[in-house]
Parts: sequence; C-alpha cells; structure tokens
Amino acid sequence: MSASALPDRSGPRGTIPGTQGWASEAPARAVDDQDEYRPPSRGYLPLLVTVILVVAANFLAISPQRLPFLGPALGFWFLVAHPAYLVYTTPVWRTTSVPERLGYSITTTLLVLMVGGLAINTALPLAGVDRPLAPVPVIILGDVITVLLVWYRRRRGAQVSWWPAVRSAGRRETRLIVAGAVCVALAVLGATRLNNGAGDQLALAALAVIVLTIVFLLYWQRLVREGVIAVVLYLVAMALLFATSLRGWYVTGHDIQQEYLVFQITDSHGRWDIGYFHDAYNACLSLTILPTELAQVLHVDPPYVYKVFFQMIFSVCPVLVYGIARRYWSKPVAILAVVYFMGFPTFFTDMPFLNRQEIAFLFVCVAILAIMNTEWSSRRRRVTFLAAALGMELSHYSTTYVFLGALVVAWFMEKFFGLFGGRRQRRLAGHRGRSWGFVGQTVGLGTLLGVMVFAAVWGGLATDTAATAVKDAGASVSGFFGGSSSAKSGEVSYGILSGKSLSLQAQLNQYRQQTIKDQAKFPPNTFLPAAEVAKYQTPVVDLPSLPLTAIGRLLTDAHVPVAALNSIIRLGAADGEQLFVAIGLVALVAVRRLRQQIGREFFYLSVGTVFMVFVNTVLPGLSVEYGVLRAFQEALILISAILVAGSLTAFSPLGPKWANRITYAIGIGIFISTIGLLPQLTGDYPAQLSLNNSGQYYETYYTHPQEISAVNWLAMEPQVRQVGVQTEDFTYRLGFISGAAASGPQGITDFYPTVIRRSGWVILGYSTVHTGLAAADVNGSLVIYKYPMQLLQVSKNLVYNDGGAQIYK
Amino acid sequence: MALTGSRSVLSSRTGQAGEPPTRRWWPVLLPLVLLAIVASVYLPSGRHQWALSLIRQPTPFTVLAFNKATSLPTQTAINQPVTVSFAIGNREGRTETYRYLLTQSPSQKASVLRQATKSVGAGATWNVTTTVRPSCQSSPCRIQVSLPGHPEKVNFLVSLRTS
Repeated sequence: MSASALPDRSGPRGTIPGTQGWASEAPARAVDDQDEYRPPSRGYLPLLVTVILVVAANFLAISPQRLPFLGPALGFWFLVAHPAYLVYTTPVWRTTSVPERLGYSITTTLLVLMVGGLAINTALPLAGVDRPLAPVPVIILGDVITVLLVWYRRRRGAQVSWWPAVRSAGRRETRLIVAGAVCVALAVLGATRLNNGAGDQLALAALAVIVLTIVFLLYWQRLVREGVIAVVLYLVAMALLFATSLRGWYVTGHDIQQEYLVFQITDSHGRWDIGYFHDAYNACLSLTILPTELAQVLHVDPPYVYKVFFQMIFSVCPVLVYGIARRYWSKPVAILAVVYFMGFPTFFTDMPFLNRQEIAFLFVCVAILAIMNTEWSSRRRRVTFLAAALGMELSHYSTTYVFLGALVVAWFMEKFFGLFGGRRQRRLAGHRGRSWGFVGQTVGLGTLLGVMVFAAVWGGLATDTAATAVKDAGASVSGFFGGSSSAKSGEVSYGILSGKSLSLQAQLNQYRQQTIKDQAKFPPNTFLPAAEVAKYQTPVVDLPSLPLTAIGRLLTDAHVPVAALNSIIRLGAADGEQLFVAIGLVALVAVRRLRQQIGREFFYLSVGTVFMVFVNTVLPGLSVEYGVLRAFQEALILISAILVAGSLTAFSPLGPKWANRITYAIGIGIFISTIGLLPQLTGDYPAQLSLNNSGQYYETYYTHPQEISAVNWLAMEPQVRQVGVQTEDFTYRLGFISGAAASGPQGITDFYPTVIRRSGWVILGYSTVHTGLAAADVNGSLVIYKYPMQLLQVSKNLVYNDGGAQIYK
Repeated sequence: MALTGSRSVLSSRTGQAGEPPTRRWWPVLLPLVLLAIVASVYLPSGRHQWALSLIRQPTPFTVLAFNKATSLPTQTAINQPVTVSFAIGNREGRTETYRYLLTQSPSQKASVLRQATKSVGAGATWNVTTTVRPSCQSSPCRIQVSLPGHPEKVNFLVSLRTS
C-alpha cells in the first residue's frame, strides 16, 4: 500500500504542531501508470546509433589509439552508463520512483559486472586463457551484456523515454541543472589549481555555488520534478566528491592506497586470485575485478579509475538517500535529509578514499529501497534484497557486517513486539486505524540466514578473509568487558555517549613503551641501540590552523572568537544531529500519526543502524577497525530523514512556519560549516584537504612526485622487501603499489624511532622532510609528532635525496 | 510546457504551468561570460591562471643518490682510496649545470675531497664514479656528496682504522 492511500491522515489527534506537511504528499514515481503504455517507435535509428557507439567503444578499447576525454567517456558509457540505462528503461521496475529505478539499474549493472567478471575470471583459464580480465574478454563481456539487455528491452518494450522530459525542462529546472554542472566544473578546476600549488579561489567558489544550488533547490522544490531533483543532487554530490578525490596527481588518501594495490595486482596479472595477496581488501571484487574491467575500456591513468569514475558512480548514493527519504516524507524533508547526508564530513573527506565502501553503500541503499517498497510482493522484495546483499558482500565485507547487525536488531524487534505488542496493535487497529504505514516484513529468518550464508561463503570458504573480522569483533567484545580504554579511536569523542579517551601524547607514550617491550621478541641488535634512541623524544604536535582571513579579522575586531565559533558550530552540529535523531525516533514511537506514515520494518531497521553506531562507539576495537564516523555515515542512509523530522519536532512548539524555517536554517548552516566553506572564509580552523595545501590530511596522505621518484628508485634496489622498508606504514603512500611493482606483502613497517632496524631502509616523505613531523596511527587515532631526524643522521647512511623524499639505509 | 502523455524518465511535472514569465538571462549572461573568457585568454597573466586551473604543471626537482646503496664501504684505512659512485638526475625540466662536492667530516682542514661540474640536460642523469681518500680526525668518518645551489645531499659513514 502506498503512503498516499493511507487512511486517517488529517486527524488532529497525536499531531505535533509544525510537523504537518512533512509527510510525503504522494509517493514519488517514475511513471504513474505504465501498464498499457508503449512509447511511439522511433524506428531503428536509436539502435543504429547504439551499434555505432558500441563498435567505436570496442575499437578504442583494443586499439593502442588514445582519444583524450572522449575515449574514457565512451568506455564508461559502454560498460556502465548504457547498460544501466537499458536496465532503467525496461518494465522490470514499474511503479518505482526515479531514484529507486536509478538505484536498481546502476546496482544491477555493477553486480552483473562483478559476477560476470568473476565468471570469466574462473571459466576462461580452464579454456586456456591466462588473462581473463584482459581487454578482449572484458569487451566481449560488455558486448554480451549489451546485446542481452537490448534484446530483452526490445522484446518487453521500453517503458520510458527521456527526450520529452529534457525538452520540457522549465527555466528553474534548467538553472538548477546548469548550477549543478557549474559546481562540478568549479570543483575540478579548483582541485587542479590546488594541485598546481595555486590558491583556493575556485574550490571555494565551488562550495559557494553548491550551497546556493541547494538553497534554490529547496526554494523552488514545488516547481521542480523528481527527476530534476535527482540530477541536481547527483551533480552536487559529484562536485563535493571530486573536490577531494581529485586532489593530488597520484593516489591520495588513506585506505585508497591499499585499494589501489589490490587493483594493480589484479590488473597486472590480468586476473583476480585471492592467492596473489591474501588480504581482506583483495576479497572485495569492487576493488579488484570491477576497476580492472573499467581500466580495460577507459584507458586512463589507473589512479583516475578511482579518482573520477568511482566517484561518478558513488554520486548516485545521495540520490538514493533522497529516494529513501521521499518514500515517507515530503520533498523539502527529503532534500534536507540529503543535505545532512552529504554534509557529514565523512562523505566528502573520507568516502573518496573508501572506494569499496562507496560501491557497497549503493547496495545498502537498494536493499533498503527494496524493503520499503510497498507495491511489490514480499517475494519480489526478498529476492531484490538478497541480490543487493550479495552485491554488498562482494563489494565490502565490513559494510555487510554492520548492515547485518542492524538487520538482526530489526528482526529481534519485530519478533519481540510481535509477541508482546500483537494484542495492543490489534486493539489499535480496531479502534484507531493501523499503527504503522506499512507492516509487511521483508527480512525474516530465511532472509537473514541468506545474508549470513553470503558472508560465510564469500568471506569464509571462497576467500578465507572473514576470520580477521571475527577476530577483531571478538577482541572488541573482550576489550569492552575487560575494561580496555586505550584502544578506542579518537573519532568517538564526537559521540554524546563516548566517554573519555586518553590524550594523544599518552597514547603515543603507551605505543613507545609497547614497542620497547616487543623488542624482546627479536634477536639482539635488530633495532637501533636503545640508549641512542632514548635520547630522542617524540612530542605530539598540533598542526597550525589556517591563518585568519579578512572576514576572520573583522569578526575578531568585533570580539567574536573565530576559532571558538568554528569549534562550537562543529561540536554543536555533531551533538545536534545525534539529538535530532533521538527526538525523531522518539516522536515516531510516541506520535501515532507520525508512525502511521512510515513502515514498521523501516523504523526497526533505523533503530538497528543507530544501535550499530552505538556498538561502534562503545566497543573499543570496532571504533579502531571500522570507525564510528563511517558507521554513522552508513546509518544516515536510513536516519537522515528521521534527523530532519526530529529537528522539525524539536522546534514544533514555535509553530509550523518557524519550525520549518529554523529546520532549514540549521540544516543549511551546518552544511556550510561542515563542507568547509565557513572555516575557510574565516580562518583559524584546521585546514581541509579539498581547500588547502596544508592540514592533517594533506601532510599525511598527499603524494608528491618526489616521493614517487624515491619509491621507484627503491624498487630497483636488491632485496628491498626482504630487508624491510620503514616509513609511515599506515598510509601505504610510500608502498610499491603501482604497475608491475605491485605485489602482495609490502614488507613495510612503521618508522617510529624505537622500531627502526639497523639494517632496514627508512623513507622519509615530503611532509617529514619539510616540516620535521611524522604521523602514526595509534589505536585508530592519527597522531602527529616531531620526528627525531638527528637519530637517523647519526645512525644511518642517507643514500637518496630529491628534496621531497629521503631514503636512509 | 506539459509532458506529452506524462511518460518520461523524469516524473510528471508538479506546478511547471504555474511559473510566472520572467526575463531570460542567458542572452545577456552568456556573451558576458564568453567575453570574460576571451579577455582572460588574451592576457598573459590570464593564460597562466587558465593553465594552473586546467593543466598539470611540472614539479621541478633534482635526484641525488648513491648507485650501489647496499654496498657502500663501511670501513677503510686513513688515506686509503674509497670508490664512491652516485647519480645526479635532472628533473628540473630544463638543462642544469651541476657541481658536486665530496667532503668529509669531522675534519680540521679544508675537507673537500673531490669536485666536478657538468651540464646535464632535462631528464638526463649524470653518473659519477670516483675515488676519495678519507682522512677524518676521528672515526667514524662521514663522506658527503652535495650540490652547491641545490639542497640535496647524500652521505655515508665509514669506520677508519689506522694502517
């Protein structure tokens, strides 16, 4: 049953003033009634154009010719965009909204590419093909997918056409789409300028245009169609992601370095095999088979497969979040929900470095959309849900485990309230109408077991990589009950219920003591003499904030403490978002009218995701291994609309008009701060990578040409990996991750003074050479400390120096 | 304008017909933007800004490294010849004239053991193999290669024994 068909929507009982109208006016659909519709035939011209483009893509993929920009665009169209379009326009997804249809289409394509790639990767070697993921097999796979989809689509009839919609775009719609495109262009140019050492002007302009686009999207939302909102949100998301992903000419970021390593291992072998590098990253097909397939047809510099094309795919995620929110709520609430989702710092500062999770999040969204679909039969919902769960597991194991945890909580709640609340609900149904908008259950015991089987078969039997996750979870639980407080990520400090954690200096001191203790396990004279090392301390250093800007100086002159203002807004945003979620959940429980507008399973699942965030906060090991912020970003897929609803509820005593106004203002205000626009305009706040050539992420994760030169030089030296390389090991930035040099174990360990080996190689990166600072990952917290360069100078030979990197032996 | 038959990739219009007529902005704005772009391309400083925003600019640097870093001498006798082999790679993007200095420390007198100068083309590498006779005051003795005018230096320690 659709939300619009619900009875008793106008009754005043149980209504919170100010929250009227934030439920969905009508379910968002792509096509209202498609049963008897067939678009007028346009003959064979579209088919002819398609054939020409596919042939051109085939030719460009196998020929040595490179066609800048146009070639990669055609390759992406061939392997991703066109199959997704073909799936989108089939009648399979009838009666679904634009975002929902888009989500099913894009994830179907990704799943087919991963599973199809796995199939040829397994089958072709049996037929004597050594490189099953070389260009020719991948192109044939793409051709087969295209032919099958075209055949199916022509047989069943295309259900939608796009040209009339484009032609009928209104002025405001055109303006919004142009503004979105300008955001993308400015973000790309802004990142390029920063990479060339120029200023932040264009990057800042990109953020300003993004904010204006969002504001006008909210202002004009009544005049803008669902599809146009989807396009605008897609472009805005892409601009935010590009602003970070395009920083640096090489692979920039944290996890992406290891993600790139497993991609390069697969690409260089022309085949995926977990045996090449037995690591959990190598079990993610989103990092191995998928980028390798894309690389074969795109022919771009390999880092740009992640830096550009994965971001183009992931930009669909906020559109799907809009689709999820739109299922139960109005356009403004759904748009604001996306604003909170995109404005959460993890979205644009970390997700471009977590490509496996980007793909997995798309499957999470689709799984939720399937659960929430009120028009499908339960069987169809379950089949779609299980397909999404399979895609999730193949893409990223941890996302699946967190989602599985939320599902289990939802299932238990369903059973618990089914047992004890059934009588009351029947009474409610008899006297006051139904208690929930939709009570159908998708996730039963069989479905849960299905997801567990996927995790066990893929993570256990096929790749044998789940053991680490199980071990981490076990260690986390025992750490919790053992009262461990040390191994807790600094991220948890943003949590309302986080408790206290050790200072960074105390954590670094603990790390030092632990490494000294661990030396006993090694033969004598393995490390530099303890007496020599003891002379050098490693004080923790706070990186300097941005200097005050003209606006910041004006504020300071007006006695406004800029640094405190920025900090208060950020901390207020973190606390406020958690508070609004809590209020939203409570309101949904307490107010029958609100409850009647949402699905019961959706609510239970939302509680489940909040519970998983809580688990990540309180279990020490999980906060280190997975991260609270990533868990919260995953939860926001579901709860961002509840957050907005909570905000409306909180301000409802002021009346509907002011509740709306304040909710808009707070949402946009937090967005302006968290995307970095406000701190950049005022200064006196830590620098953000997407806007500066400074700050924690820049110093730690930005790769310079001199560093690449140093790594290439070291790769030519004999017995390097056997002897061992020491550097900032957690970043993988100075590892052998490119081309033929990429192989499994890197032989790289940390270069903290107490663990420096007498015989090992030590690489100092650009930041350490120029600032004398180094970074360490201590219990999941990034600790910046003063590196004792003198220790290396008196103990080792400086054998390589290019001004931006130094190598000691 | 309403959608024909209201079947499209995008959902049906919600209120488009209610839009008030407004002045079109693009016939004015577009020529102005194009004019600004043409003007900026015409000016050298504008061209530089475009280049910074559109094209990757080279990062100039110089590489200085020992050729056999794993087999550098670890001990020798005072004033006995020691072979030193290193490479100077020019990644500055233009021809550079490099002068290298081989020095030792600690030392009381002028400690330059060897020096030479050569012009190296962009992208080329100057491989140097030479011998020095260390005579440091104390052991261990640090032999250093430096490039005056450039910050890059490399060095190694060698234990000296009296012969």
